[in-house]
Amino acid sequence: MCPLTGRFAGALDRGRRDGGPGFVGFALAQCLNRYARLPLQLCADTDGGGQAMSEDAGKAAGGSNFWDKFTFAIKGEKGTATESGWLTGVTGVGSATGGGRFELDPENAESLAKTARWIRDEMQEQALRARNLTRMDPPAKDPGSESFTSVAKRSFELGADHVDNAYKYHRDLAEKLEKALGVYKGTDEQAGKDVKSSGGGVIR
Amino acid sequence: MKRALKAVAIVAVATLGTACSGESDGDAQPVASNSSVVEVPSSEAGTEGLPHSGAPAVANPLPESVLAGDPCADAVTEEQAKELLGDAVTHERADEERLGPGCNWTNSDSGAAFRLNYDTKSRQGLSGDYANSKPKMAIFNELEPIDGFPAVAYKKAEDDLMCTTSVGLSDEYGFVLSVSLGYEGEEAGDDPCDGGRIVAEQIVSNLKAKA
Repeated sequence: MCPLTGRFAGALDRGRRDGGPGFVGFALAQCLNRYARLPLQLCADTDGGGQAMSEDAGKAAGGSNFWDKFTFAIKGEKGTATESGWLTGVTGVGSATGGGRFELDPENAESLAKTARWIRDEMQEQALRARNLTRMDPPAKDPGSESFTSVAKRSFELGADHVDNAYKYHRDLAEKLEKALGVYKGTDEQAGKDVKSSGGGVIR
Repeated sequence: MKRALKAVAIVAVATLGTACSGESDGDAQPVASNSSVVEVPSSEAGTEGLPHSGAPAVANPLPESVLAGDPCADAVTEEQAKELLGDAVTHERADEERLGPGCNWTNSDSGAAFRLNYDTKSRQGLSGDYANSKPKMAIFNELEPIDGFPAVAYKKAEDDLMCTTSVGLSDEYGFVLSVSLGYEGEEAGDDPCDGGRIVAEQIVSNLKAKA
């Protein structure tokens, strides 16, 4: 295992016990270092055959929320906020779910939330595109091409599943961060809940 | 090597001679033989074979010209998009080489979105969904016709956040629409297929007005 800085180590350790160390390391390294370019040292733990994508990340763009195990705490001058509300005791964070804690300052949390949302939107677009293409017909009718197409179709389906998983993962991450930010920016916990209410469309 | 080629040529000529030896003089006629009948899978049928794979026929098709414009403007107006996805909705063209013109509407605040593609290129209409999507999807439902046009909705699982709705405007063409729930809809347990039908009804209404 490679050394980590900050308070991510605890979360990663807990994540490993839950069978997802490589995923946590990989995903956070991607989100934080590559996209948001935050000054954090994170690296993927591949001990024990860590995988780049966990099945828990999302199933058919639905299913379980990978981030349920973790708490995002935003620590600033006003105090420490989580998606569940203001933190009054340090020991409480993360322990309720048996998961880990990610502690961020408001600026970095904002940047990470913005990045997660952007990736979510990109993944959503790709996932919707893949859905629209499931009706696509084989491009040719000769047996050779048909055989190729059946393989290509399966490959396409696997690719679509991967996009679904990546979409769900970033969607849930963005939601969790935005809720915590809502609490931090607002005056009470209601702010976190109000994040979701913006929109007002029939499809909500 | 030359000797081998020569032998092959002789055998080939002899075979042809044998094949023709039983023929009688007269006009050439198509030969009906059981061995020559190749059953074409329904998914491979051409335009003439539509509909296939269990897809219903479209009794009163819309002219294809209704699908000629910009889907971002013609299929759903800005006002309608706001009603469907909320005030923060944005859109961008999303043409698909294998399907046809398309548009993507997103509300980044709510997390909800839908993507529309006219299907003018596959020339399979709703039959494409029955032949290719139905076997892949855990949930595939025939919907009550939308303003007289047959429609199906499908998704990968009961708790899938996305649902695809496909409408046949003729046996050959139509449109396909995929809807994604936002956070609020997910938490409330909304069915994205319900939203898909609402959007599809709006699109059909707009396209019919254009005809």
